[in-house]
Amino acid sequence: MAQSYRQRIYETVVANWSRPPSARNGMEASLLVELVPTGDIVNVTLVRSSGNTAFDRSAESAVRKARRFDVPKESEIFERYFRRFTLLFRPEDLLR
Amino acid sequence: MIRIMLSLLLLLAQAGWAAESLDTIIIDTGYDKQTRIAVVPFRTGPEYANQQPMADIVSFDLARSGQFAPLPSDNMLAFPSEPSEVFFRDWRILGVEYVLIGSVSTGANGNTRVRYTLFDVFNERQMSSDELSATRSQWRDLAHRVADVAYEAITGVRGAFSTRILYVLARNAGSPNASYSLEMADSDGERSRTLFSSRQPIMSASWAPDGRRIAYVSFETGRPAIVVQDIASGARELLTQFTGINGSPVFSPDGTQLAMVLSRDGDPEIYVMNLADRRLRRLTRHHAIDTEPSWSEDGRYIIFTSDRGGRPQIYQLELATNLIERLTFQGDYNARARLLPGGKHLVYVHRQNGVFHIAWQDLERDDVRVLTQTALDESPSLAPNGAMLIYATQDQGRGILGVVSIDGRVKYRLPSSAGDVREPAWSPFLDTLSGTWLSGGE
Repeated sequence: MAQSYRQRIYETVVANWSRPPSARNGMEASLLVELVPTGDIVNVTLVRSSGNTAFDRSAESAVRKARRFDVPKESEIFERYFRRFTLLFRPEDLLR
Repeated sequence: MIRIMLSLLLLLAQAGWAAESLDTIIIDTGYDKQTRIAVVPFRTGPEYANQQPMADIVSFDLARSGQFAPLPSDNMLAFPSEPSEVFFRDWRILGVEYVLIGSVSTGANGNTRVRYTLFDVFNERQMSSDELSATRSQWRDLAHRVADVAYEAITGVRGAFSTRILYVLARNAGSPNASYSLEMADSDGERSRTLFSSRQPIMSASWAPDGRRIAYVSFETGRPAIVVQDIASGARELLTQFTGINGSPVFSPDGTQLAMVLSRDGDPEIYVMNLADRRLRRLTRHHAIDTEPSWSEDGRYIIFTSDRGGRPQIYQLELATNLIERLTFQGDYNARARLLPGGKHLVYVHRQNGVFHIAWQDLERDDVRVLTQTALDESPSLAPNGAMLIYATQDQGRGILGVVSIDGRVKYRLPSSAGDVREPAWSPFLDTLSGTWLSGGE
């Protein structure tokens, strides 16, 4: 069940993610996302930079634009998987 | 199919997730859109009432890059000009990702001063803030500089709005009272000024890498000659006037050499001239036509057009070894190629179904995309950041200039005065606020 919530987070972030022209396949940025039980985003922290500021910012914006994610009501699952999780931004579909 | 793709992506995400850590979701794709920016009208002193609003110039610069969708000022909920007046909520409601504010005033020395600040709305951060100063006549230079700074801060790519374009303006071509002039204008087509004019044709203008000299072909003596001209002083130097063709002069990236086409030894061949001692080195030896040279960014290769294979195609010559490699294989006409910064992509004139277009090619993947749709497109010239290119095309029988973003998303035409406009050449990066650079149209 956690899986379908994860997929929705994936789809939301993908839909929000607009990459700068300096982005290249193979760049990687990691964000730590922290939620409260309503699913509202309370914190987004860059834990590993791609080395490209515009790329890092585009990833952070993609998360913040969502403002909140759908999360399971069961507090045990929420605490285990959704209180804090990592998003790894690693494009594979760019033209260059 | 889409469902399958999605579940496949999910599988990939899960696989990656397992490998990374227990709670990582991998974002491997995105939907790239034009960046939404609000360039709020700058608070401007009444002494500048006759000037085009600076925010309009900045907005137009960003919009014509193809990567930005500026918010019309009619849709703005607030008009802040100081950082303390910016409320992110106002802009988030409008879906605006970035806000640029500014103010223009006159300094004690009479100079025009611009203060600007750029904000990232979703991440609620101030990104850059600065003050620029220049003479009153440099109003447009100031605006283009602000656009350059915003463009680079947001995209990670250097802005190329503070640049110039050269082009040839022909009036009554082919008639006894024909006249030709070499014009230089801002990258948005404004403020054109004449650098040289003649009763005889002018062709193939190009820039030295320092942006202070240009080279071109002039028929002023009745025969083609390659001329180098200093922009600021207007001083001209006639470099070659051999029998036959003297054409397509292009400066090397370090400015010390000039590649050119000469037919003094028979048919058109590519040569390189060392500008210090004027010594010529012949690069190609083939009975076919070799023409339209250009340099790779590192100066190690010359790209040129040749019909040695029966049809015009693009070839690459390594200067150290003289080894020649063919680069284009799609279509029966490919000509006048230019390499993009980075050296992995090429733009050139490409004939498809009998119509001439500008095409883009990924050299590693051999992927060719047509960027322009009009007929008779020619002479592509790249902006120094590789994000846009300018080309010559036809509109109702008249030569005009078109610009297209390198992703093909945005196309526009530059205003042309009376006459045919031909052979544009985009300048290198210029420091237009340094004071030593000549402003156009003062």
